[in-house]
Amino acid sequence: MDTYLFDGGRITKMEVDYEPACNEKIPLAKELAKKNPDAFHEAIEMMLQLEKQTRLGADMVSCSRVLVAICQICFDASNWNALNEYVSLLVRRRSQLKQAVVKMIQECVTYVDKTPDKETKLKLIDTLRSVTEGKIYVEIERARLTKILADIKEADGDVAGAATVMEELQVETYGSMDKREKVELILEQMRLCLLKEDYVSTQIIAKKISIKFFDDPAQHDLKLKFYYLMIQLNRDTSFLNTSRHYQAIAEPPRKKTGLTPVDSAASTDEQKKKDDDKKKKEEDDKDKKPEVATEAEVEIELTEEQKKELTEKLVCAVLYCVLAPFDNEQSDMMAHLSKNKKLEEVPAYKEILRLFMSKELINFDTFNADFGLVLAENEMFKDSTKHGKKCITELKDRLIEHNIRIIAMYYSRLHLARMSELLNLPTSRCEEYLSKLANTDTIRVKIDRPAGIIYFTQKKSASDILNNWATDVNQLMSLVNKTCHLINKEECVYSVMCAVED
Amino acid sequence: MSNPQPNVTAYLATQKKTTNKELAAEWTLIEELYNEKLWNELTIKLVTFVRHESLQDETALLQLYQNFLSTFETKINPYGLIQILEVVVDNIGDKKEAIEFLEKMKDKVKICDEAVWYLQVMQGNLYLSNLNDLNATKKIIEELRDVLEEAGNVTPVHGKYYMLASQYYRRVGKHSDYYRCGLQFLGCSMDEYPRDQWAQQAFFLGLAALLGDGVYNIGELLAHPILESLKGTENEWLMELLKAFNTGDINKFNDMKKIWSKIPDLAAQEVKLRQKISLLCLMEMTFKRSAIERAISFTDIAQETKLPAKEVELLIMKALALDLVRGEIDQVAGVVNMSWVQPRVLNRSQIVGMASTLDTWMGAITNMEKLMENRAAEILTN
Repeated sequence: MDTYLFDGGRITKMEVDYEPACNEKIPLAKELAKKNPDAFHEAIEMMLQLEKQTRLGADMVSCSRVLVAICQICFDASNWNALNEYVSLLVRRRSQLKQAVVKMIQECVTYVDKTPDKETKLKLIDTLRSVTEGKIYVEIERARLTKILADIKEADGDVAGAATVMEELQVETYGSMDKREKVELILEQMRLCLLKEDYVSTQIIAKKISIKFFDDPAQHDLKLKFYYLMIQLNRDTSFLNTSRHYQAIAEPPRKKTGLTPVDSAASTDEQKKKDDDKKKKEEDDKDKKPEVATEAEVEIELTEEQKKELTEKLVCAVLYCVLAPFDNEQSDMMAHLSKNKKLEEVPAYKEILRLFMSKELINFDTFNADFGLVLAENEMFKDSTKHGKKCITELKDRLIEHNIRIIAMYYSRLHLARMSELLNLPTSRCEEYLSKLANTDTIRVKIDRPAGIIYFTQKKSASDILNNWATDVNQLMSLVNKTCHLINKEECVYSVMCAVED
Repeated sequence: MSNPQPNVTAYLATQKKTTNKELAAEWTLIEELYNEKLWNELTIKLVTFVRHESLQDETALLQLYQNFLSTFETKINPYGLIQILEVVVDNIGDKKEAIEFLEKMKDKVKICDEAVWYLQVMQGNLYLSNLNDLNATKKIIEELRDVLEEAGNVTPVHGKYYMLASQYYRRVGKHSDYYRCGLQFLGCSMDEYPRDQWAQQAFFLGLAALLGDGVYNIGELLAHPILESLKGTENEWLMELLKAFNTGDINKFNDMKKIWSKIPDLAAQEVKLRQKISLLCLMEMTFKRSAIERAISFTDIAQETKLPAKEVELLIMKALALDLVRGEIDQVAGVVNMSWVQPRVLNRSQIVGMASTLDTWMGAITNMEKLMENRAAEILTN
């Protein structure tokens, strides 16, 4: 009977069936090694002979069994050096079958947690990692081993080493790895990079995760982990992004739909089938979209504790949004946040948001009297931390900038002394802030220093003035026409009513 | 099929034996309509019949529904069904049961949007008036708001909704929303509103107009006949006060202080009231200015609003922030150039002012036209 194997793209014909031989010799060798430690080498030799036969005969199943048996014999004898040696040796045999290697590596991975001491463990991991390097068919096992190694290094205090080891992995390209596991490993990479304060690498790694992955309710825990890492990354560099991350966290988890992600280490062919199934599912999803959407919107019942925590995250989102420098995006985000109904549970913060959205001056003393205590309780504004001090400073700056923007909007010109009075600042500081905002193009301003006058208006060209005038007249005439039309209509109706009465 | 029939027949036979002859005749008519399956006529009849005074009893009404109405409720106009059930629900002693009863009816009338809305309004009324559940009331109001605003036309349900909403907002002390919903209610179904409640409603609306944030359009209330109901009553002063606000008359406001400060809410909010009338005064100044005198000096504003000079700019900025006026402040010259004032409902004298402005404008245009005619000769000659 002819049997063909698809072994990594090569068609190989199994020439001899060694199953009976394996059934006979494997138990014999194991028994021999167990009874008499001195017979260890004899047993291994027997297995090596059989391995050679099965490999050359292209009997994948039997070869796998032999390789696993060799590992088991070494493990049972607690001979770790031999295990390392034989693994390295066997992987490099000519015409070694890939599936057999996979089985052997998987067997060895289970031994990692059973090593007697750390030195042995590290040696085994190194051996396994070196033999798996560059081999796609065992990339998953290699990734897991690398993670274990990184954990060991981190526990030893070598964070940089751990990060370096993890960064070598390119898990985003692994076709056979489950998506969730990929994300977990990438999150680990991010965490280690953050620990060694390599923000550039962290930013690069973060982009490997697609946000859409978190739409699945089953991945809510990873979502939280991801966004907490992102907050750590952006907190000192971008308040706007930090606010965005907090908003994502403040979103409550949704009820899980019927779709459950299936864990499977699939081969290439199976992967193709999986993709086809996904396409079919997507087509089905289009038809069933309303139902799915309805299901997805059902929120899980939260405990009071959980609700309170989500509200706290929302508060952080609001505060970081307020602290972000003014631009279109920040303005949009404030408007978006103000529509969130959960803010009604924290009226103080809702009022803060409203003040910064409004077009009125904010008096600092009043602001401090109203909200000083509330903000002091917030973690963000702790005087004792570096970040807290920065937040306090930024809040004051934002308030002043807000006031300057309001004044620029309403005034065509005013005295510097009056502006100083309105802002409650010395004149030199007023000029500083004016210059800063002018540089960022938030406002347009000219200062006549000798006269102490500030101009906010841009000089308009004659054609602009004329165009504005024409537009205004146009609007006015439209209103007049509309009014006349309505009056005539009422007159017609009235005359008809009179006629009817007569 | 034979099972429900005897029930209806037996029920009607029992009812006709009443000693009240008038009532017996009514029941006979109802039976005829039922037997002939004239559902629409039967609905119209029942809407009024169910309000008969001898039937205002929980047991009787529930029996009417269970033994009679439920057998053909899916055949009649859903809105009519809800109108009939309104009386049934009013007489149910346990209001929670009443709400559950209405919830069951939702499925039966869901083909008719109007009926569903009406049913929800009834639930809201029960929550607000009887169960004192403000959260549930609020939820219903917010659900219905978007739906009713998108409805193409004004239905009878709109008036009931606005009444419910205004009562809720008055309860929770939201003056602005109460004022708006109250006015919308008056605009929808003033005809059905009992006359003896006009005075009270006018009083509450007046107070809300004064106390509500963002309420700067008092002309609509002043133009409405409901306010006339305050004449001759002890609250007539409120009319005068509202007129003072509408024209920004601060002197009158100050003169009437003894009267309006007796109302605790108004006394407590004096600062806000003063700010509001100042803003209205500024609007009025802007409105009265002719187009060629756009610059208003800080001094003039200070005089009219009775404010210290330092606070004039803050007042102007407040008005600009609320978009009541548009313009630019020139602090160096001590003037503000106003270019626009928010449209408002005007009284007659204000309209006369506007008309004279238009006349002046027409005169100016005519003059310009004649000037062009005279000068054109030179152009043509050359």
